[in-house]
Amino acid sequence: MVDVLYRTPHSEPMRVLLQMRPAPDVVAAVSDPGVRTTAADVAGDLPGVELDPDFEPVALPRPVPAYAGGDPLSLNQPLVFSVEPDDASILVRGEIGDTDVATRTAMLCSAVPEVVGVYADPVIATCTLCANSPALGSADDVARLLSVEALHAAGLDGTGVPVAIVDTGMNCEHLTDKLCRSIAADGVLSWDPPGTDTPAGKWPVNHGTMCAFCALIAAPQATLVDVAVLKSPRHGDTRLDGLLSDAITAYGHLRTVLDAMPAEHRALVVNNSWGAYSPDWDFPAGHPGNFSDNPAHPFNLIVASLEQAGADIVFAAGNCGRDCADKRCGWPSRPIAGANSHHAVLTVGAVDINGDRIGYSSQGPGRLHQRKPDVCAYAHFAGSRVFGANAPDPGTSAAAPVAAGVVAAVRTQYPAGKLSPAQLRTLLRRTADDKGEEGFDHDYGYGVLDPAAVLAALRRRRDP
Amino acid sequence: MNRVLMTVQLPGRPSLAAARRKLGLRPDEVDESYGLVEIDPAQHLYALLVDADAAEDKGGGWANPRIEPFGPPV
Repeated sequence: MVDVLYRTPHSEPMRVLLQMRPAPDVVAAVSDPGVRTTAADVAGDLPGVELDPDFEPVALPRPVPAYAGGDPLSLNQPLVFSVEPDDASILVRGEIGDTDVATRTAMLCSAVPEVVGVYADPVIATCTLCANSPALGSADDVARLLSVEALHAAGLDGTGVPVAIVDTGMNCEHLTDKLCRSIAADGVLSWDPPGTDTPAGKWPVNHGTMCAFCALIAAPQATLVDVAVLKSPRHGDTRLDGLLSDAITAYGHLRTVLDAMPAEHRALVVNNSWGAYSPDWDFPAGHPGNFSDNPAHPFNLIVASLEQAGADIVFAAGNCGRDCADKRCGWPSRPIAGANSHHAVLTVGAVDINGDRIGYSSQGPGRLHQRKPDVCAYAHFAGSRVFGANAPDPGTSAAAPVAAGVVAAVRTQYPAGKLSPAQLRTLLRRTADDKGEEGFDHDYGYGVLDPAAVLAALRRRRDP
Repeated sequence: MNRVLMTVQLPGRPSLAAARRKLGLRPDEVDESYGLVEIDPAQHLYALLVDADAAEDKGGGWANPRIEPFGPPV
């Protein structure tokens, strides 16, 4: 007799676990580690079921009351688990048609008395990375995934391209120590908040240093520009914060930097791994002065203006992903807000080195522009060691500068006059490695940044 | 004191005092240390920091929310 999996034209096989109670000698054989048994030994031929021959039958202990006189049908009492042949049952795996499953399983149980239960066997996935997960992979792995060797062989290494790290300030000594080489940083182009006296590149090792490290993975020859907005003394709730007005001033400075460049060589990459964790920090949505939902807010206007002048502006999507949001997140929904969701910026979510979305990476839609994030880039790898010897470079905070480094690498030979920021964003989205749902989705955007595909597209563009 | 942003359109290279006068603000209602920041040269648009109450009297200002680094996540 041949097992036949009966299906209607539209049905698909559904994987199930079948609990069997065969003869005690069969149970004894399955329980004996010295005896190899198969699903067919236990179940024989089951009508309408295709048994999985690769799934070795498993003996399932029977819960029995621990004390005499216990309720034989209750699990809410002291129990012992018996694997005696007269008590235990056996699990085998198989497939049945997924149409009218309830009737099929009832018919199966009535037709074959040894079948005492049919259970779904859903796909289980590996756990997503969260804040406390250890580092997965290293900066070298990320460099390999970004095809950095190929980029550099094509002359795309960031030489001469300024990368502004708008953050908590950088520590260049830490960077040279961890990278074991010198780095290029421009103190003249850098910006410090008024009221601070720390020179550019000499800030305490913290978040901004991590961002700089990540940007240098793909663009090791880029020129770092230290923009320590988040060291503003204007606000004092935490040591690492600022006000949006500080960011406006910093962007005004970056505009002067950009305008001073010859038009034919204009290139400036601006990384922003920051934002607002809560709508409570803003005027309410609908208020005419609101930032998060309002493209007319002055910061959103200066972002648009700087991008139009030729800057590539990269923003982190944020760490308010539904799977394991940062505890500071206060958004009830749609946490990619304000400039982080601006149509004129590249909004970057985070994936691990396996290309799986990290649980804290914020999902779209964005508040200003719905199709956010644009792309994802790698994060949560061992790299800068800013947060400890074994600590990862976590968050979309790391993913954004990883992407900014790729942008800077491209800019080495393709300044904004040749390839506008909008065209470059389109190229990055179009060549991204599609993940999640087919095409754009609000978890991965258009997919994971794929510099090898970017390089191929640039070559096609140059050599049609 | 709580301050918010206001914007003003002025041609040329305006001073903070010119911006203040156009908005009808007193000197003590404006953050002089912040100054006047160019938002969009094409629109001759500038931003300044103003006391929230004064801005409210002039029709309202723009939010100046706190910002923080996205990380490390907790």
